[in-house]
Amino acid sequence: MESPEYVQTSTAAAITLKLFPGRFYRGARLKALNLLLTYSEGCRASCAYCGLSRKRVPLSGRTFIRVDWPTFATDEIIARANTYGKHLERVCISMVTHPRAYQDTLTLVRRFREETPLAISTLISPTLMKSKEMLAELKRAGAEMCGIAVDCATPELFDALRGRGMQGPHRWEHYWRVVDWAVAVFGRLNVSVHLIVGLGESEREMLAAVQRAYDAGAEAHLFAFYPEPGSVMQEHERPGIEQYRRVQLARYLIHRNLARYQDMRFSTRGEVVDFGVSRQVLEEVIEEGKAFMTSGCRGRDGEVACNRPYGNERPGEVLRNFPFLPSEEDKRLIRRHLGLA
Amino acid sequence: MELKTEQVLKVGEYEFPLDRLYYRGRNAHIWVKREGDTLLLGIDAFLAESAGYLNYLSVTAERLERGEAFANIESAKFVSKLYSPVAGRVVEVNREVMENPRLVNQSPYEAWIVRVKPSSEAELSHEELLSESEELREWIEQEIARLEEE
Repeated sequence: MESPEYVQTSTAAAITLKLFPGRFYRGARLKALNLLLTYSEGCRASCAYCGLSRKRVPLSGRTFIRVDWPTFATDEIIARANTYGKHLERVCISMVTHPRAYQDTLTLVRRFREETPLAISTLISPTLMKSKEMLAELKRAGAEMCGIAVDCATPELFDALRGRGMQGPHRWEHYWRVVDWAVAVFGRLNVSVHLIVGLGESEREMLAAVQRAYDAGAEAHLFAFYPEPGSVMQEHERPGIEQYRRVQLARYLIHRNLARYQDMRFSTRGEVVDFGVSRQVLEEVIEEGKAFMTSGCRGRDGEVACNRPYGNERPGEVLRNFPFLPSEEDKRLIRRHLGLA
Repeated sequence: MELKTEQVLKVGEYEFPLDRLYYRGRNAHIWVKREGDTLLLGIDAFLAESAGYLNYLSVTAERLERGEAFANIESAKFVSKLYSPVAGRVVEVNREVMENPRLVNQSPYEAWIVRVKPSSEAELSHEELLSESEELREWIEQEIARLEEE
């Protein structure tokens, strides 16, 4: 069961397409299908935190970003997206690092463009991208947004967790080169750079990466580290909620052109102590609530479509990424996390 | 409590054996089945299906009050409390189900959660415990519609 005839789906997608039983806590609705290419040999990379890593301990589980990713026939996914997908706006087709992944992604992008009304994102593996033309071909096939999972905020962490430190194939410089190619092909802010908070970076380092992505013409989309059982980083702690809130807020200020990384001040430990805006602006942003929602590719209405409900935490825990606007009670808690209560 | 022990009510894709009662208070979806002088409590097919594959199940109370939470369930994307249909005392927890909560998804009417000694016989005769199939059907149809609205 391999791509392109088969794909893995997130648990949230499987529930939405009625392939799995279940529903979403607090009435959240999935707005984007996340699909992952699948091969019997798996991913060729060995990222220390990843559930797909070839270095993961066998039989320790098959989770990726916290949940199961069951495999289904592409035909069935497309049919069900058309039947049950009334709230879906987008599909994201994610490569793994495998020699067939690029061609199979093209095949899948074309199928979704021709057979569904969904807008299409591709989450590419830059290591497989040898030229800007390869990205242009993805766009011609029907993808209109492109994601690049840089994940690590600094070259040192990247090299240690994804590159030479793990005997992995990925290289920091090439990833950022591909970000530039992608912005040239897909257009400003139609490219996203995924960054995982909590891999060992400081807030200062994370926000420098956010600013770098934004200055390059890409949006930074945040994820909170969640330890995958059997991965090299299975014992690594999740980021503190206060840390995550500060990074979310600062990222949002950068994206709204309300502040730049250079305007912010940091403690000696690299924590944000001044966001570079007035207290009134901070209050307005917190009250609006969007800063704390999941960051992801946009839908037709310009709002986030890739909302990944409970992708970074168990339901019922304090939400890192809200898949909906935070409630008044949520915002009271957010103010406490930010020390602004 | 006269129950139609052989019959099964089917509402949509969900089945409800009529050898037990169903608690609709707080939309709890808890079934109650008499066994000797004790009661078995479990989750009905509607909740077992709509909650998703359970990863965690924990019993949080020994003394039960009607309408009060006695357990928590959690799946990949959903979490909920379970509410007791009766007042009483937990005399046994189903350890097998605690260790493997997905038994509830596989066989909701066999995977009981707690065995309870009720405070009194009257605990089984309040109006929120449904035994009549038409009343049960009407409630489940409402619940299916509510779920589709989400």
